[in-house]
Parts: sequence; structure tokens; C-alpha cells
Amino acid sequence: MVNYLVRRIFTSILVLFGVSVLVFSVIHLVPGDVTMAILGRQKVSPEKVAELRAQLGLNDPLYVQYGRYLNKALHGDLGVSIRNYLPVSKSIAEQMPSTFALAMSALALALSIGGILGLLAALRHGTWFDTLVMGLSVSGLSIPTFWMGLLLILLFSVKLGLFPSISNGSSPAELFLPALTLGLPEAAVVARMVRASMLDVLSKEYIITARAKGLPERLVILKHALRNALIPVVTFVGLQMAYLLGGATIVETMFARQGIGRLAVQSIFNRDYPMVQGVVLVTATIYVLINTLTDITYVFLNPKIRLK
Amino acid sequence: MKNTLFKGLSVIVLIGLLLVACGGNAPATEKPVIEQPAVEATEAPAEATEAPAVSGGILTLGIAIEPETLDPGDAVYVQEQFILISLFDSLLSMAPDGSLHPGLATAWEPNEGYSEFTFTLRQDVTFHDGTAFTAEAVKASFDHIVSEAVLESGGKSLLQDHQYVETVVVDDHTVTVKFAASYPTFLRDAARQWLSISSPTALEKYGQDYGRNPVGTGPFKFVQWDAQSQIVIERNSDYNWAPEFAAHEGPAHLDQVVFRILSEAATRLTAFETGEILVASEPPALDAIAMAESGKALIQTFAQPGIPAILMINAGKAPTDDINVRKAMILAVNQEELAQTAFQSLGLPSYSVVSPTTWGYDEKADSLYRYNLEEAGRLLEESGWVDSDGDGIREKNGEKLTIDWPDNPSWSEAFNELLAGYLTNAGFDVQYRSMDDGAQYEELLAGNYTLVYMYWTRPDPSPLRYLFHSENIGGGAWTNFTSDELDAALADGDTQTDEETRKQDYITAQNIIMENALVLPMFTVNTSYLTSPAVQDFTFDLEGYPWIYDISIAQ
Amino acid sequence: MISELSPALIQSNSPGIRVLKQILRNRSAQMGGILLLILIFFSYAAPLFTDKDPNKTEPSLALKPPSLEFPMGTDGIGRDNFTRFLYGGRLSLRVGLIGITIGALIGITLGLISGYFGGWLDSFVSWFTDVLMAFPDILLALAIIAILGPGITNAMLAIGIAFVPSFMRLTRSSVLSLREMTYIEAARSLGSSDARILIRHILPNSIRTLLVLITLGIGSSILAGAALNFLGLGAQPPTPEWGAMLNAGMKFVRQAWWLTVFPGAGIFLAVLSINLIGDAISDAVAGTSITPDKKQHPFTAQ
Repeated sequence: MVNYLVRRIFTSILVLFGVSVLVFSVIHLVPGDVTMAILGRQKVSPEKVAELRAQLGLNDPLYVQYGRYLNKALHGDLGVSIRNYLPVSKSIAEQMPSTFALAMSALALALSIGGILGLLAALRHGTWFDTLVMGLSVSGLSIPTFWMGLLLILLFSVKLGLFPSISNGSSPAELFLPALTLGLPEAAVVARMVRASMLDVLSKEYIITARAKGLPERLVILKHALRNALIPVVTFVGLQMAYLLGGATIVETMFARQGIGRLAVQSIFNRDYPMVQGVVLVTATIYVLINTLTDITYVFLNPKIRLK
Repeated sequence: MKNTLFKGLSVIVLIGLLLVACGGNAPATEKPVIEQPAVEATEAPAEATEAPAVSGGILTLGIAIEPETLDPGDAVYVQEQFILISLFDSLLSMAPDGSLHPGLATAWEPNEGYSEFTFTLRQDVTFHDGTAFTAEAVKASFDHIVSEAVLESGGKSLLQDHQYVETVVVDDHTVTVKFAASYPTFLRDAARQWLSISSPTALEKYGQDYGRNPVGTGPFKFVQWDAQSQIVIERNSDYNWAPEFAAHEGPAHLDQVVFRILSEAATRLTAFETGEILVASEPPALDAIAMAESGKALIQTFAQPGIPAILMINAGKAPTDDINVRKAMILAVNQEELAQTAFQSLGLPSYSVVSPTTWGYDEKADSLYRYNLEEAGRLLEESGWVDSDGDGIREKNGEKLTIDWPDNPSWSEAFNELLAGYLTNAGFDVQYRSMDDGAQYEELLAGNYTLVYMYWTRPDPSPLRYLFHSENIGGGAWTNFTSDELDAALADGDTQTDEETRKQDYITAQNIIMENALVLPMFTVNTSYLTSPAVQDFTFDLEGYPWIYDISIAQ
Repeated sequence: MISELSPALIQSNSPGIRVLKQILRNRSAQMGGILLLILIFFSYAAPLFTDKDPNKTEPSLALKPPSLEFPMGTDGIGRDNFTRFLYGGRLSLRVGLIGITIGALIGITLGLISGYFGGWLDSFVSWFTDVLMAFPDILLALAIIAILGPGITNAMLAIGIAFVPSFMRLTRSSVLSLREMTYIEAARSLGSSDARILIRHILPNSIRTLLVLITLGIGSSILAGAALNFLGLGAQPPTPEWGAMLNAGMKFVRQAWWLTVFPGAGIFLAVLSINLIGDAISDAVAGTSITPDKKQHPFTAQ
């Protein structure tokens, strides 16, 4: 158990190390002289460029620069935006809650819509309803998010006037359309998983036995089948966090929401490398942490592994 | 099965923890001002019966581009001045008709050579942070602009180009600004947002962060700036020093103004349509017209004087180092159709480097080029550019007739493809490269461009010096064109105190620029806003920025 | 699905042909296949259907609704939307195909080497893959574009790299299971070189599992490409591409529905057709419906 924990944490640290090296290299992989990007709209003299290079430590050996970068990052200093001169960590902290709220509500919508449809489809296996749900699901996986977002805005904001078309806060009304746009393709995935796993469970012996014992069908479904069928779905949820954080990019852009996805796109347009580095580093770190924590929690909850 | 169950459970536990952690943070990040939808603003004054009838309400404006800073001394762009005008006052103020009026200064006196200016200051003004407005504030603001803290800005170039020496505090309410060069337009410039006055206490307190914590004397106070989302300002209830040409006195009517950053024109329009914003800047023309016709909105337009929307042509680099090629480019573009297609009735074609509503505009320079595709083709053939392989693109010695256009599409999305289409019709190979302002500037410095998009709102043609004088080659004069005659006219126009001679200088300059085909004129920038019928007294300042001080919201 | 097969089919000798026949018999695969063929044919044979230039502007004809002359109307500056749709489809489909090819080539090679040779090489490649996987796909693509700059080629490359980890992992696990098989052992003892074993024996036997990832990956890759173009990070104006066209059309969404509906429908139908085929392939290969695992199909829900 301790052995496993140590190994798991060590692997994560190795991955995080790789992540930080990759992110650090961004500024060195950029074509041309990065100091020019930083100096931006100033009239620059060669002396000024040289001065800035020295100031940024770009003349030091790479490993020294990396060491400095890592040390600062570990202390929460991700550098300063080269466009508005604000600390990167502050900007990210400012944008993060909005993305998080969006991702969570999208997940909630996806699980409820997809779960119910998938369940009903499995129970009505082979009927027109099943075909319809499967058709909707494959369509949901194929539809471009930005197209669907547009259609949703036109319908719900412009035609019906029910929900705001631009959104900022975390109130249900403001989150609804963005969360739906982000969550519907997810719902399609969930529906397929629930259906498949429900069908699988329903064919299991213990269900057949339960039925043979004369248990009411409702009880069979709710007590035995559903609980087991949902397990793979819930496992899948952990993996979705990273996707949702990344997928928020387009939705945040469409609805002019605050968020780190939009921050990433804007920073790329502005060639604000410290900001791009910061956003990518933070998101990747969150992903690695979630994965590690999931695995560790799992071990704690699972006596089998603990005994080993 | 068991394994999966436990794995599933652990995920639930984890997410629960995350939700709790996130929930704890939520109140801190929620700001009360965001909660107030703009549409409700119109109802708000009903409660406050004692307040004056027109007072109150929140005005939400959809703006296209987020400012980089709200430090007036560090500002360059339109989107910054747009907001600064409500937060700050300048020494002087300029009425929409171009006349000068007292601002923070009640009287002013230039010396004979127009190099030293003495201002008598108001004594009843305080900054938003409570600091009293004195001569020290003027000195601190101007010294801040030329200091190392400001890299480059509109204000800095104004002061440095005229060799700013110092600001001398004569007494608490008298101040003298000194230049080493003659600066006849300084009084007009002193009325601009770029040279407006900041609180010396705040400048010191915030240092590098001042651009995010601006403190001025204007009718509105800065409240907050949520990056990528909005900038909020609120009424300065102590305000009692409005310019005399304003429609009212005392504090502004509106309680609060929210500048909502909505970079896509389509998003602004939708938000306007649903009532989430009451004013939309630069709406898509077709929709704006349709909405105005249905009575759901008003279109407010302002034909801007100064340099119209032009493309500066790099005359220092092939293929546009050939005057025939440059002329052909101008002739290939149908300005009338371009303005009509891109802006409908909101756009006006432009044929010169100075727009018709500008002081010193010359009709002759305006008459040199009109759309003529055949003539464009003839000029290109004369210079040896022919389409030898039938792909529609002209070549010479195996080289394509390539136009390199690095540009920020946020500024030009309404017309960039249209313009490229005209040039393509004439056999040019147009390479449009989209990037942000900073990246574009790098390309300009490196000389990697054929075209540079430019417009400059100004009541007179004085920006011509910055854009065409050969001393600015490599930093403003992107045409890379040198002519002693042009330099002389521009230098004299900038320092000449005799109005008639000055006008003649600019007329000469306009003609040299157009005869040498240094710019491709496109259209006169018609700033337009879509306003809700509830928004009353929407007017423009001299340069076309909404004069928010006088705006009120109907009940 | 399998129970529906006729005995004759099951008897056919080559497993490849059997799978292929099974796919061809699948109704959704038929629909998807026909749809895809139509889209490809229209895009690549564009000059047969239109003699117009996709970038030719004609401002006097701006925003004309669909008609015989302009089957999909015209855009804001008078370009023929139908012609742009056809040429745009070419680019959108190409982005999907090239993106996935880059990802598959690099990922499969890494997976083969890592799984077959094991040892420190395996550890290193696996670690590298873990590192790549730590970046959400779209963010990885965005970061790559941040380095290379916006543009259609860079967008394809970015998408390709985002796919590398999935291919690497799948190939590696398949190699691991094949490595110890008797016929591989036999080949090795007969003196076949490692390269020969990898290419002649291991790769062909891994291809069945990889096929599903490749097919569904093309769909995801088209979606991802369209998304990057929508954000303005891919094709530069005036180049037609469905995602970019959709973005441009949003400005006219109230006057000209045809500018958003057609390119949007193009992306949707292309991805739908590929997903239908992918489902059928996965049914045929595994006998069960594919479990959509996000980490196996990047961009699944872009």
C-alpha cells in the first residue's frame, strides 16, 4: 500500500516534471527573438534588446533558466504578461472560477440528460425509441460545438428571450446556455455508455435470478441493474475534467465569458507567451493532480489493494 | 466489478471535495455589480423618488476591444480613450465645434514662440481618491508620461516630439509647461485624454499597477476591471467642474457605466437585441439599419475628421517601390462600392489621405484617382507585370506580384477580404496574415509588409507628420518614402503659427502624398453606435467618442 | 450483429475480408459511406459543379439568397457560397485526414518501438506520452499553435501531435500482447530481424484495433480542425474552410442563414458519416459497441 502510494506519487512527479520542461521550452521554441515580442510596440534599439535579454536571463545556460523558472513556478510566480504587465498567476486565478463553474454545470447536465436517455433506451432496447436515442447520440458526437452554440443562442436568447446570450456570472440562468453547449456532446457519450452498460448488466445472471424470484421489475431495475450500470459512467467522469477544462475554450469565446480557455486563445493571438505558458501549465497540473488523487482515493477505498 | 465500484466512489468523493472547495471561493469572486442586468436599469430610478427625474440607472455598453491600460499617460488606442474620457479631465476642453474652453485650467497663456505655456488652475477640484488638484498634479502627470515607466504612448510621443523640458510649479494653482521646440498645437493637445491629469498620490501608490487603478477628476470613478469581461465605472457625486459646453452641470446622470467587452460584432448585436447591453459599438451595418428601421434602435454615427481609413503602402520594398504598382493598387479599388458593401449607408468612400470634414482638406489631392481597372492593368503591364501562366496573378521574371498584409483583423474584418478581392481582380496576389497589434508592430519594424492599415481621428491634418515625415521612418512613417519637399511642408505645418501658411503646408503635403501614391484611401471612418431608444442625449465629443457624462436613461 | 451473419460469411477464409463484408452489411455504415462518398466527390470534383472562383468577390451581388445561379447564395462580399462550400470541404476533409495521419504515423511508430523493445526505451516513451496526455487536447493544440503561429499547416500538425498519445498507447498495448505469441517467438528463432517482425507480423495484427481509432479519429480531427479555424487559428482569409466560413457567416446570421447553415451542416454531415462508419467498424472488430473513452479519441466532443 505505502509502496503503491510512493510509486504513484513518484510517477506523477515525473510527469509534472516533464510538463514543466515542455511548458518552459515554449518560449525557446518560438521562432524569432522572443525579446522582440516582449518589446512590442516600442521603438527598439539593439542596446535595449540586449539589455532586456540580460534582464530576462536569456543569456544563461538553459538548465539555469529552467531551474529559475521552476523555482518561481513552485512559489506561485508564473511571470508577468507581456501585454498588460499583470502577474500571470493573478490573471489565471481571476479566470479560473468561471471556467470551473461552467465545467461543473456542463458535467451535471451531461450526466442527467445522457443518463436518463441512455437508461430509457436500454429498457426499451430495440424499439424506435432506442433507435432515436442512438441516432441523437451519434449526431450529438458529430455536431460542432460552435454551430450548436449559435443555434442555441438564436433559439433561446433571440427568439424566445429566455436566457442571456452573453454570460459572466455563475447564476443558473447565465450558465444554462454555455453549459448546455458544452454538455450536450458529453451527454451523447454518457447516453451511449449508460445504454451499453445497462444492456450488459441486464443480461447478467443475478438480474435474471432476481426476475425469476418474482421481484417487481421496478425494484430489479433500480436496486440491482441501475446501480451497477452506472459504475463505468462515474469512472469516466474523472477523465472528463480535463476535457471540460479544455473544451470550455470555444464556449467561453462564443458567450464572451471569462475563463481560462478564452484567456489561452486571446494570449495566443496576442503572442503573450508567459500567459500561454501559465495557462497550459496550470491546466495540465490540475489534470495530473485529479488523476493522482482519483487513483489514491480509489486505493484508500478499496480494501483489496490495501491488503497487498 | 468491485474495483470499478470503488474507483467510481472515489471519483464521487473527489468531485465532492472539489465542489466544496470551489463553493467556498464563490462569494469572493462574485461581484455585486455583475448581478445587475442592464435591462433592469430603466426601472431602478422608480425607487429613488427624491433624485432628479433623469438621474440614475446603469448604462451597459458593448465594446469591441479590451483596453491595455487605463493610465492616460500610457494609452495609445481608441478603446482606451473611449473610457478615459469619462474618468479624467484635461487642462483644457474642446467643444464638438473645435473651440477651446476651460477644463482644469481656467486661463492659459503661451509665450511668443509657443514653447512655454502658463496655466491658471481651478481651485475647487479633488481627485477621486480625495487628493486635492494642484499644480503638483499637473507636473506629476506630465513627468510620469515622459518617465521610464511609460514605454511608448500617445502622450509620450506628443511631448517628446516637441522636446518637452519640464513643468514648473509657479504656485499651488499656477503651472508652466516648457518645451525646447515651438509647439503651436499644444493647447489643443492639452485638451486630449492622452494628456489628462492623474492623481499624484495614486501614481505613487500604484506604480506599475496604476494602469489598472486609474484615479482622475472626471465625472465617473473607476470601480473595477474584470479582465476579458468588463470595466465598471460609477458616478463621481462630487463632480462640479464640467466643461461649459456640456448640456448640464454637476454630477453625471448615470449611476454606473459598464463597458462589456464583446469582441465579436455578432455577439454585440445579439446582446443588444436581447437587451443585455443598451449601446453596441460598431454594429454590423445591415443589422443596425434593419433594427433602426423597425424602431427598436437608433443609429448614432460620427464622420471622423483627420486621416480616413487608408492603407499605407511600403514604397521602400518591391514590388511597391514602383510608383506604377502603387497607382495601380489605388485604381483597382472601387471605393464607393467598398464603402457601400462593407458599411451600407453608414460608410462614405474616401479618395485622399485627409478626410473632407478636416480643417485644411484639399479637393485637388482628392480628385487624383477614381476606380479604373483598365488603367490599373495598363500601368502594371507598363512595369512588366503580366499574367503569363493564366492563373489570374501577374508575374515578372518569375516573381509573383505579391502584396504582404500583416494585420489585426479586429480592426479590419469589415473590409479586409473585400479589399483583397479588388486587388486580386487586378492580378495581385494578396497575402493577408492575421495577428495582434504587437505582432504586427514587430513585422512592421522588421520591414515585412506591403500594406499597413491606419486611420487617425483629428480635427486637423497634423498626424501627417508622424505618418509621413522621413524622420519617422522605422517607427510611424511606414511608407518608407523620403522627399525633402514633403518633410519641409510637414515640419513647417507642425510649428508654423500662421494659420494660413500652415494650411498651405498641409495642402502641399496632401498633394505630394497622393501624387506619389503612398496611400490607398478606402473610406471615411464613420464611427457608429446602436443605441436603445431608452438611452437619451447620446452625443459625441470632438473626436467621436460618446460623451457619456450627458447621457441619461429614460424611465 | 454477429448472429445476423450468414454461415457462408463466417466460413470465408480471410478474416480481413470477413470484417470488411460485415462492415459493408451494416446499415449505418452504408448510410455513412454513401454520405461520405458524396461529400468527397462534390469537394474534389468541385470544378465539375462550378466554374466560379471561390475567392472572386462581386460586391454588387452580396448576400443573395440561394437561387439557380447561386445554389447556396452569396456571402457578404458577393462570393459564391456554393463554390466556397465545395472548396472549403476539400480543406476541412484534408485537415482531418492529414491531422490523423500525422498522429497515427508518429504514435504507431512510437508504440511499436516502445512495446517491442521494452526496457528504458519503453519507460522513456511511456513517460513522454504521459506528459503529452497531461495537456487537454485542445490546449495542447493551442500551445503548439502558439509556438508555430496560426495557419492551416500548423493547425494540422497541432491536431496530429494531440493524437500521438492515443495511438502510441493503443499500439503499445497491442504489441505487448502479441510479443509473447508463439508465432512471433517462432519468427524470432528463425532469425527474422526485429524490423521484419515488427512490420510483417506485429503491425498487421494490431491494425484491427487501430482501425477503429483511426476512423473515429478522422471525425474528431475534422471537428478539431473546424474548431481551430473557427477560432481564427487555422486557415487565413480568404481561404475557404467550413469552420472559418461559419465564423464569418455569424455576422450575417439574421440576414443570410445560408452562410451559417451550409458550412455547419457540412462539418456535421462529414463527421456524422465517419462516426457511423467507425461504429460499424468497431462492432465488426470487437463485436461490441465502442466505449467512448475521451482519452482514446481526442476532441470527441469539440
